[in-house]
Amino acid sequence: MNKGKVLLVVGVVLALIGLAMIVYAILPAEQTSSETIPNGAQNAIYWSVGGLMNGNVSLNFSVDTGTVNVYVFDKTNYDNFGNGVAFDVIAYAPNLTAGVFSLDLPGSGQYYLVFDHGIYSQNIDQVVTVKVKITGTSIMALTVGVALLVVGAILAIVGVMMRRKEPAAQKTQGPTDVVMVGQQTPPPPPTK
Amino acid sequence: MQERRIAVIPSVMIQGALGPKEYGVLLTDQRSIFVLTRATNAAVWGALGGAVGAMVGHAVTDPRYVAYLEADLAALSSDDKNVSVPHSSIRKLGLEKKLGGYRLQIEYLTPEGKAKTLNAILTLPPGHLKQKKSEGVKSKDAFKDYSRRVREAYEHALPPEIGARAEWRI
Repeated sequence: MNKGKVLLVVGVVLALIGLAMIVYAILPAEQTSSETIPNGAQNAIYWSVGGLMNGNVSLNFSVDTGTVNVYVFDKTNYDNFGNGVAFDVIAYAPNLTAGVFSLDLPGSGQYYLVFDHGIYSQNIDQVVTVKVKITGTSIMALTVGVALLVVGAILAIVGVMMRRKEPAAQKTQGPTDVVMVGQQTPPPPPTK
Repeated sequence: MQERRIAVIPSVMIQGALGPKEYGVLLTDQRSIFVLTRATNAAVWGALGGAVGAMVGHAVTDPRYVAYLEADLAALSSDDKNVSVPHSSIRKLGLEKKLGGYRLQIEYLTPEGKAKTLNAILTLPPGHLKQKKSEGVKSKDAFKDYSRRVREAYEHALPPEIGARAEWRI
């Protein structure tokens, strides 16, 4: 396979991967998962999401027994919460057995959805099931996708240009007429 | 005695099971080596069927350019893609003008003693036809001249007893 063809194939493959990543970056993601909050007042579980433009999280959750408190934090306040110091919340809902809510993420940073034990539930294991739908544009996937698409397109164009040039160069290497080895090519017969 | 290269025929076409294949022919004083230069993938893709098959049904591989005058004869001959016909094994050889063009037919015995017939259509390399046309030569005359030169090449390459039996109907 010649260089032009290799570049063309690599370029097209990269561009297709890039295109797929752009689509992936834009399409919403849905996930359902369950986690257990071990008994103990200090225990909590969390899900995190981030790196989104115009991000929105739609949430549907339920707990198998007792109640839970739900918090939404940015990175700084999540750390504060974990360290037991004063914190601010983006959203907070105490003592729920189930709930549905939707939240527009304020920025492209990392955000944390935290569940801990609600009232009278500190001493039991609680299984929280969360169904989450995340919309928005993944900045990382979009950046990588666009980069791959651009690089792939450039490689493909260069490959096509090389392929256009290569045959002309190669044709001169092969004989185009019957070659008698070690003899001069006879002149064409005289025309009548 | 060392094998001598006699001539190179740049392009003939042989119909294979998976579509037509283009060969260049290196003639030595002992054998004709048909060197595969280009094959189509027609049947392979055609087998996929449907629009995909139709779309790429005529895809061809890139041509291979062979350094006929320098290439190692043993290597060319032993390459599975190529066809080597020892001149001593030729039972019948003919070049004749047919409806589809000039056909070179060689009947020969394989080393295993099996009779085989090789049918090759002479094809003009694109550069050759372009050049001839620019000189004001018609395609028909270019083909005729090409076939005449193929005949000359074979007449130089074949042992006299085989050459005497060859049939030239061009």
